[in-house]
Amino acid sequence: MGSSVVATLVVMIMASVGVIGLRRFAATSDAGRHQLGLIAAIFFVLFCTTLLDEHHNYVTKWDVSIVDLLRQTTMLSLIALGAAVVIIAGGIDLSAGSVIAFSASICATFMVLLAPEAVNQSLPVGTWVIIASIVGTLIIGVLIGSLHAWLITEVGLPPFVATLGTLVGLRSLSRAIVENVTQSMLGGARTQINIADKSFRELSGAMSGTVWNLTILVAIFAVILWLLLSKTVTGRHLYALGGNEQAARLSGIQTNRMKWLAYCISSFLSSVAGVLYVSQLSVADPQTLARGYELNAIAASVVGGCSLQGGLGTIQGTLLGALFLRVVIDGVAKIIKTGADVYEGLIVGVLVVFAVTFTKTSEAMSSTRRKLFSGPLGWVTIVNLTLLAGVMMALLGAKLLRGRVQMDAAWLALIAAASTLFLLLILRCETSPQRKRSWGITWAIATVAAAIGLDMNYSQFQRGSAVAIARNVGGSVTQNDDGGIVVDLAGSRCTDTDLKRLLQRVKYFSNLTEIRLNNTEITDSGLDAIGKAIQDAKSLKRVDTTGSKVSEIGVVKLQRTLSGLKVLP
Amino acid sequence: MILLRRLSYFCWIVSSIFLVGGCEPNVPKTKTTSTSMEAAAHSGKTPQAHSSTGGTAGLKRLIILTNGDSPFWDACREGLLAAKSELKLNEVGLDAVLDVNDGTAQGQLAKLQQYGTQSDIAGVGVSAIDAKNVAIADELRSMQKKGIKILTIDSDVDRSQFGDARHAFIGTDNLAGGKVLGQCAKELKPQGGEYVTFVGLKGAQNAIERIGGFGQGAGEKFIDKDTMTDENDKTKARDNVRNAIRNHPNLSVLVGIWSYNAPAIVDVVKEANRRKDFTIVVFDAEPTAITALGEGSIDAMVVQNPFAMGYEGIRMLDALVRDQKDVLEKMLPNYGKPDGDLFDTGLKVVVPSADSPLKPSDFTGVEFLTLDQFQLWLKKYGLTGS
Repeated sequence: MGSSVVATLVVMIMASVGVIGLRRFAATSDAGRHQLGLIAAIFFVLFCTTLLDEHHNYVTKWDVSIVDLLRQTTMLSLIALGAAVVIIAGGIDLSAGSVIAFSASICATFMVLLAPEAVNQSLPVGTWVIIASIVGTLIIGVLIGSLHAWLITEVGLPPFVATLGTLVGLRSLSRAIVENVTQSMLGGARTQINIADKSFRELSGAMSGTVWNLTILVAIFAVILWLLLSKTVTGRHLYALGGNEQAARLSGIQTNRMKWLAYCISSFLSSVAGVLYVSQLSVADPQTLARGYELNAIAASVVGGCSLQGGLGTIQGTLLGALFLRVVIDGVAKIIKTGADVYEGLIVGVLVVFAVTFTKTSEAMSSTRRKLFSGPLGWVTIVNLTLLAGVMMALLGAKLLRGRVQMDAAWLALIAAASTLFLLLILRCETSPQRKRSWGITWAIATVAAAIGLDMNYSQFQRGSAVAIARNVGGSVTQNDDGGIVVDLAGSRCTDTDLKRLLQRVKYFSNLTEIRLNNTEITDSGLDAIGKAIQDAKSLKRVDTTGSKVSEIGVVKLQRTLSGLKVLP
Repeated sequence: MILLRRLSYFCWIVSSIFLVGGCEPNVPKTKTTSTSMEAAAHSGKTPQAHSSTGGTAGLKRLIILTNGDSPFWDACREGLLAAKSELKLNEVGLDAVLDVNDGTAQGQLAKLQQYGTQSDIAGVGVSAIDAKNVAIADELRSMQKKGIKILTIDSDVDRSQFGDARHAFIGTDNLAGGKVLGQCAKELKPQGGEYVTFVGLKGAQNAIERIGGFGQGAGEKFIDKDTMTDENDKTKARDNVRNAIRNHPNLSVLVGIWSYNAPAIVDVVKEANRRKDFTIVVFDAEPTAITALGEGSIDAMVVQNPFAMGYEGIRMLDALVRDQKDVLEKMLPNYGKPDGDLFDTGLKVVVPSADSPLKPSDFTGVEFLTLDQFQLWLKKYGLTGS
């Protein structure tokens, strides 16, 4: 397995380098270079995940990983395509998540209305019921898009406000519909509708576990939209509308019709997604389904090259943007493993900003870089980014680098913050690019060297610190005849707080054998801290608490936590 | 020139490492009974790659996946960690962790699908967010086929349809728990009254059983006016209580079904200054709810044992992974028979003090404790809630 991991890493590195190299020579448009950059970024994230994942799941379970990635990417792609069309046309659609929830509820509601007994008893509802429900749902999706277009073109609402209304209203409406319909048709109000029909569920491949249904469906929609946008006059009109609405109108383009088309496409695709979610999850839950998905869709479109000002973007870029986001989320889940979703939003947010920033054209970058940290706002931003780097490293560093470094989260945070501060100060300096480059190289070397050096000596530093803390409270750290380390705090001023500080450092002694807490102010809280801090130290044989303030309960709990440990009295 | 520059960078790197690496921390010498401390401080005996999270490479995980985020699961985590330590899981190549769900069915399904793509999962104990969700049940079956051991903890799947999707259920008999809570209400308010139940999600099996059980235990004199859901949103939980009080003028009993509903009820009743108008009975003992019980803001609590759910859940998953038939037989002696796949972690009724109208003789099959006794029990396991 080791050789296959290495081989995979080598292939990924070569692919990334190849793509980056292609970018240099490709005489393509900005969009083309952007897409190549995204592909390189995707490979890079895959490479990092394979490297940092302890179990190298992309190698050992590549087939299941691909299926899961495809499943998640296709669903995101569906709504991202709709969002992209609206953004290219110069608008915004905040209602995608609510349209998904509404469509899912409507589809399930149609099934309840047409086959209530079958739904209630989790039986097959019949093919014609499924077809009628889906068609009805899609028609309603188009109606929602039409409503958006009417609010924007005739009533004159800004797209943000029009779609914000449906963001809030549709979910509430769908809850009301579900509760009322289930009350009258199923004998009791429910907040969700469960659909167990196997043939309906197979639409999304949920029964057989295949993702080809979804993949082919999304591919078909992507091809149709690509043809529409790049090969038809209507597509040109949509770009023109997004680029400059007034100029487009004055050129004779029917801008209101174009907006109608764009919002109908977006809502239609969200409705398709809603149907597929019911099929996949076997439940239509208007309260919780697709909450926040509109932001994911917009993020995928923007990462894929769509400009929120309109007139820019491609279908292939949007698909790559969706893939990039899902690869990042999947990578976070595989590296951090348990509790990964706590950090998911943070990492995705940072990477989205980086991805959009660094895939701009070099001309745009050089013009923005000159003004990145100027003035008072620049100084505040430097403080901001330094703190952010420190906090992120404190939270993520230990998880990402577990087993590979000795330093704890606080030290990693300190190094990250200091390093970031120096880098930002270098960027702020008004000097020649060549000097900045050499300073940057010096910075990189110094950071790596300092990090390696500190890590190598970290445990020694912690041991010295432990000795100092023990001495400060009137105790000592000594070595007995067998070479075992004895933390002797008997009769000292040591409190629970002092003990907890000491334990953070004393665990770096590989042969800790005894802790003496006789006649101290240590309580059960201190004993609890021993249990939590020294779980891996199998050498610890004895803890003496005679004359201290611990209770029998605390002693029993410590003995249960560290079985084999002798706790006196 | 370029070569010289690159060579100088290389020398820079090497010397910098030694420069920083060569800094020795100042370790004081102390008089000892034998060898000087300096030798120990400078010894090359460094614990191998000690990191703040501990090295877990090579260990297979036993995961408890929750249905949401609540202090209830903190007690479960303590039980999980106690089992991990006492069963010495690390020594047999296992690790035990708690994973928190976002409170949605698709979130739970996505997590289960993600587990299926990882090679280090040995067993999963899941608190099913939706008892009737076919997709979640199918995913559990699919994971079983891949060799991952599956249990349900705290909230089961619909046993009649999906009992085969897991090996066993560890938790409370929620129907019995609901009946006990209903009985509490009945003893506290013999004349009956209108009640509203508050819960996160109506579709969770534990919610279904507790609400149904409450109605049975309370009896005909109690009228169910509403069940209000908040989808794990604690702000909405409070709004629901306000709306219930406003919408039902004759309301006299407030029933908290999930753990965080108790503090929501207490806060709103306090805010409205209407403690004397309501009988408040709740499930589970979050730290704030325990404080409220002590202040007299809650009349009775029916408390599960999430510590035992965590402990026994990991114990059973460990036994399944390591094929320890004796342990499994002891835990589930009637396995294969009806309801033989249920491991009951027990219930407690907790009242503010011995002066409570509720007496131990009112209940059978459950442990009856005053608040003081309950707090001693918590302290024994180092818990702040249950």
